[in-house]
Amino acid sequence: MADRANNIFELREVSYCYPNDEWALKNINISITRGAKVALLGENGAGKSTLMLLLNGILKPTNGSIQFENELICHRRKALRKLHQKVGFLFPNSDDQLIAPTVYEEISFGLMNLYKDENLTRKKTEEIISHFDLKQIQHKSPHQLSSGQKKMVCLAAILAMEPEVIICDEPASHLDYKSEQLLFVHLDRLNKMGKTIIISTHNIDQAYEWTDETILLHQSQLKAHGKTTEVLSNSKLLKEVNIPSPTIISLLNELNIDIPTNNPPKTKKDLAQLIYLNR
Amino acid sequence: MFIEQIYNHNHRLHQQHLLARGAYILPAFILTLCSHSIAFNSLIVTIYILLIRYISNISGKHLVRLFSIPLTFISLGCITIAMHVTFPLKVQFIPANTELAILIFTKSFALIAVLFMALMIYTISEIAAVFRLIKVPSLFIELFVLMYRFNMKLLSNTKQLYLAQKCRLGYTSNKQAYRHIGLLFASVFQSAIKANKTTEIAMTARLGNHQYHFVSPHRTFCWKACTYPLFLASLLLMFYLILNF
Ligand SMILES: Nc1ncnc2c1ncn2[C@@H]1O[C@H](COP(=O)(O)OP(=O)(O)O)[C@@H](O)[C@H]1O
Ligand SMILES: [Mg+2]
Repeated sequence: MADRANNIFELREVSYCYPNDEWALKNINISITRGAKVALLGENGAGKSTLMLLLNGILKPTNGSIQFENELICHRRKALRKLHQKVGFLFPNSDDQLIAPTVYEEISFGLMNLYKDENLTRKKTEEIISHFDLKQIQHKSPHQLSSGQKKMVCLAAILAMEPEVIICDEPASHLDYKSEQLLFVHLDRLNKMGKTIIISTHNIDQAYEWTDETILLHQSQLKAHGKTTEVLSNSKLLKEVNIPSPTIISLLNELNIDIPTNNPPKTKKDLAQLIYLNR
Repeated sequence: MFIEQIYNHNHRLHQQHLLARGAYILPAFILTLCSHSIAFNSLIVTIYILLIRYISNISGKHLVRLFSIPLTFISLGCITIAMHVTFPLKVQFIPANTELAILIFTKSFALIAVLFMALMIYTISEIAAVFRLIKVPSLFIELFVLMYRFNMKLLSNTKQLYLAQKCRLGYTSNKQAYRHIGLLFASVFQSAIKANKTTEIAMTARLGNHQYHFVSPHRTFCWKACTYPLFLASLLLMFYLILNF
């Protein structure tokens, strides 16, 4: 994370205060690596959503500065438009995001704003619809869909615009197991294409196995930032912020197996191997 | 409810081309506007109510409720036309006026039926597109779409909050019910306004500039889809000519 040119976001002493004088973030210093999968963890009210809104330029930091691709985020209209084009935001509540009478038109909305060309928009919309398997529901009203389908439509609508960074605020909320898996498969594929993905979640196991970096927030302050395996295998730290250890780590603790500090097991397979070696 | 039906947009014609759908509306609308025949107007009312029922599967009860609101106002107006009140309080119906009143009543009824049908088979974005085409000021279009969206939020919010109140044993006694309805309205409005704000943000995040430019899938126009509505239109024209002259 030391390499500055490789950082997509750089936050310096960022604080944010809501209009009702509530400090949601205080003195945050973070650099986010380009192409990383980043987990944003913390209790309810820790400031995760606020931080995400700051990254997308929707909120303006009260103090401090945020750089995107080595340029200060400017809150003028034109500059913001450029930022929004490159940073997609998946809202926690799909209903807030859905505005069009049909799924097809919902997906076309951002594209039309971007390209201002109907034929190109149609082409891209149809591409993303078939990519996301939304063909059967493309003429339905978004408000008739299940929450999993709604989430997919929202994600498709954002991804259609081909952003560099995808910020997902609690993407798995309201999703059943299968939809959640599908969502993460999509996100994984995007990550392989070089996109940076930032998610906030309460699913600690998911965060542990899926992400590369973890940002830990606690009571509006940055508690830790580093490699996921390092941050989340630190049981003492997690206890301080009222977050349980990932299953893999707590299992090793139960078994009294020392966790290799340089290379903690990341997947269930790694875990099985480690247990096998220590039997 | 009908509003939900409009918003859901899952009627039988939703796959058809704009023009094919228009063929159900425009001829009937023009003929009704020109018609002087009570019989013809009644025919339009009957046909379009049946059509709305068939296309949307809306229940008869809802249909009655739907039409009752505009019809109440129209009936009141028509009765005042037909009635002649003289002092000291003597009510009489003047035959010529009564006939005019009935004509106006049937004509308005028919127009409403056709308009409801139009509302039903066009999505909000198509209506907005038509507005744009005929150069309605963009402020008006924006307001129109905004109202639609606000209503939609209001509707779903109200339903959920009402259920939530009920689950927590609201509305058990009459006296309570008034208070709870008050609470419901207060919270519904607050939450709808907040949701609308978030939506606004979500739209800016997708580069929306307070404009509602959607693109609908390209549908190829084919004459075959127009056969039913054109058949209907020619039938109506025939009846129009017979009944009006
Ligand atoms: N719109 C708002 N107005 C005022 N305070 C807010 C608003 N949104 C969030 N907050 C406050 O900011 C703090 C952080 O909130 P948030 O970023 O939403 O937390 P998280 O997403 O981690 O649960 C909370 O204490 C919350 O009460
Ligand atoms: Mg949150």
